[in-house]
Amino acid sequence: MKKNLLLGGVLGLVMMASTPSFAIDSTGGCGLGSMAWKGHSGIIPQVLAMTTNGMFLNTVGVTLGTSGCDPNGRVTGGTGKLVLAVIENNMEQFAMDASRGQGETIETIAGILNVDSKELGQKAQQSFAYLFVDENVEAVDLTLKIMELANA
Amino acid sequence: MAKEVWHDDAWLKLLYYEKNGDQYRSLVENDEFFLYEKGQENPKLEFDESVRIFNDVNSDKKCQFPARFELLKKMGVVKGNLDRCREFLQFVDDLQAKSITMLFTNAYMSNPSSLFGHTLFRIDTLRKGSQLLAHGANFGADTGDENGVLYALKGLWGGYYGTFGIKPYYDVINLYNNIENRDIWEYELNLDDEEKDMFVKHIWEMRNAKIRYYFANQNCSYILLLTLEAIKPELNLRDNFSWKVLPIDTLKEVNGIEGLIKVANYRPSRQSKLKYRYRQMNDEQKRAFVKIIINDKLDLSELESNEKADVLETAYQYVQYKYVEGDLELKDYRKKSFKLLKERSLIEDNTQYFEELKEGENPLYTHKSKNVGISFGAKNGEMFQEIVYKPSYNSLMEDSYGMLKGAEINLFETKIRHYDDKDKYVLDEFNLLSIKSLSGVDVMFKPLSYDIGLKYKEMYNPKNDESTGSVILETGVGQSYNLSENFSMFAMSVPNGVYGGGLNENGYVGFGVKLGVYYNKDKYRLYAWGMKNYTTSNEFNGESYAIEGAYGINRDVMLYGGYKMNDYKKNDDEEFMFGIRVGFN
Repeated sequence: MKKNLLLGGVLGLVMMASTPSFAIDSTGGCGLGSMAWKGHSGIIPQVLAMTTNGMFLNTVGVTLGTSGCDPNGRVTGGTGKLVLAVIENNMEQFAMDASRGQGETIETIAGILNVDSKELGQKAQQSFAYLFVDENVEAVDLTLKIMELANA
Repeated sequence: MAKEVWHDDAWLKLLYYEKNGDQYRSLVENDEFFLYEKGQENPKLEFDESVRIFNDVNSDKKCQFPARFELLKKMGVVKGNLDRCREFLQFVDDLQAKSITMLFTNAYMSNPSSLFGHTLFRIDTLRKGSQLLAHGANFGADTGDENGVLYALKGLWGGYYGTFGIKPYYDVINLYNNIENRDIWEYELNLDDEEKDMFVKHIWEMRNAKIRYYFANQNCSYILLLTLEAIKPELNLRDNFSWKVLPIDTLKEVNGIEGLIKVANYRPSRQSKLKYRYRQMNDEQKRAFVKIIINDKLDLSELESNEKADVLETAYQYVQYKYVEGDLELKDYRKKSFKLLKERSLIEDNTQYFEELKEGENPLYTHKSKNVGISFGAKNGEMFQEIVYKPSYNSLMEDSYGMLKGAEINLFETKIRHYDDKDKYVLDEFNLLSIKSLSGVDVMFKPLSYDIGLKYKEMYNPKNDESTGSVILETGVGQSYNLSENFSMFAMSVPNGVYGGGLNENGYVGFGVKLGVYYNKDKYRLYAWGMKNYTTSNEFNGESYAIEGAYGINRDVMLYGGYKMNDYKKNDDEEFMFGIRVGFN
């Protein structure tokens, strides 16, 4: 195919580029969720300190550094970290799914926590005011609450 | 001479060797990808060295190249296992691969580098819940922050390296569906367990591989074909591609292998969802919705509870859209989002008034990207026959199924004519590029319409009543309005310029005002416009009109007719033609 590089080159010049550059990385950070609702926080350690049920115990180290966004670009870690990753990176979708009691993020979290997704959806909708107290929400806080709901 | 093992396609393809004459050379350029010092040029010695190193119990190289190890083990030339490859096993454990899916994202008119769509892989997950926890595997050029001309030139001549990257699928969705508003199509591939296993191992060993990236042909979509061949060497997908590789064509090539694509799933962009949701609303819902998004007033008193839910959810999604577009401050965005969802959460009736958008126009069945045609006509009383060749990719006259509506991306279209009177062949037109977007504004979206064209054309010269080769540039920008779903009108201002040695003063610079209509539904297409042009050359001042129509016999064959008229001061320039066009791969 090299022999036609010249022709191909001209085509490419015209279109500037036929395919996106490193498209997946072009937003920087960890997706839309991290742009908008996510409260960047130094409060993670405090929340963890207050947590006595050990929910985050096995993920403390990872959570502290990367906050749900794995440096290798992978979904990894135990249940707490997975739920946090889903919520933090899909906050706007999760908020809507919680308000209507169903949706892909609810199914995902229910899957991670191994609970019934319909039930979790109902709980999330009924407790929406508890999950989202006002327009400033914090992913870790929300993660703790949703896990608490799931186990209730 | 017996065929040596290293000659095996499985080996050559797994390391991206391509044969040129008697010489082999791998597309992968960095030394770390090979175990033999000059492995890039020598598949045989690379093979021998791999066998030697993989059999060395003290070497952990096989952990870096598990697919290679697996292949050699299958060939019976190495022994052992990958049990001690901690990092690799963690990778396998994170992925929990269930199947492999090929993704196609449709065109993105706001970015010239995405006009043709994009393909990538998804490694589907066994994790309970949904595929949000799957991973996208993308091959892309690592361009850094460069942009503009340098970026284009480097991209063309292989100035960038492409690499594979892995991201959680929710990041892929957020980027394409929610930020760039592009539909995603998911095509699950029919691979057996061994092939799936090889795929995961192969993606792992490709994570540091650098391949020269050529935007036109050796691009993401081409490399993805080679990746499929690497894990399923009996496939031959690359042969039909040479100087240009369009993502949609590679997808169709994969689909051409019987049974390779198992199921297709549509994941609409946020914009597609919003448009669909608005169309589904009844009049009361529409009124309430517009009040929210335009007047910022939440008044749902006239609606049933399930009707309310739809309006609130749609309004919420529209707020997300506006924020991404940069039309909303973070503070307002949060306040509005919260208000809408709080209201939504109070409605316990979850029987939605309308269903979610699930069906789309499958890109697999779009019209073929090339076509040829023959037509007959007359130009200023002279009869002619014309042959036209359009190598890529889509024009306004073609079937719009699965394509961006009102969009044209037409490159290198070439027209050769034979005139009866002079018995002469001429290159009538070489259309370097024509990019149009006639997307209508509505209550939610206000896209710009544009029409950019650069071409060489035999242009009529009113001075001497002859035609002369000229270069024509037009850059129209304006807006379109939908008269109905498939019928729009547009208005544009069109700065334009013509250069031709045979013209007075070698051409002119002009400013045109253009009005027109466009219709495209099923088999019928119509594109008509009039333009008043004010130019620096007195004799080219005047009005132009054109009307083009087409009837699609099927998606790839159409009858075509057109009439064009330039009403200049001194003379008129008039042309009509009709013909047939046939698409091919």
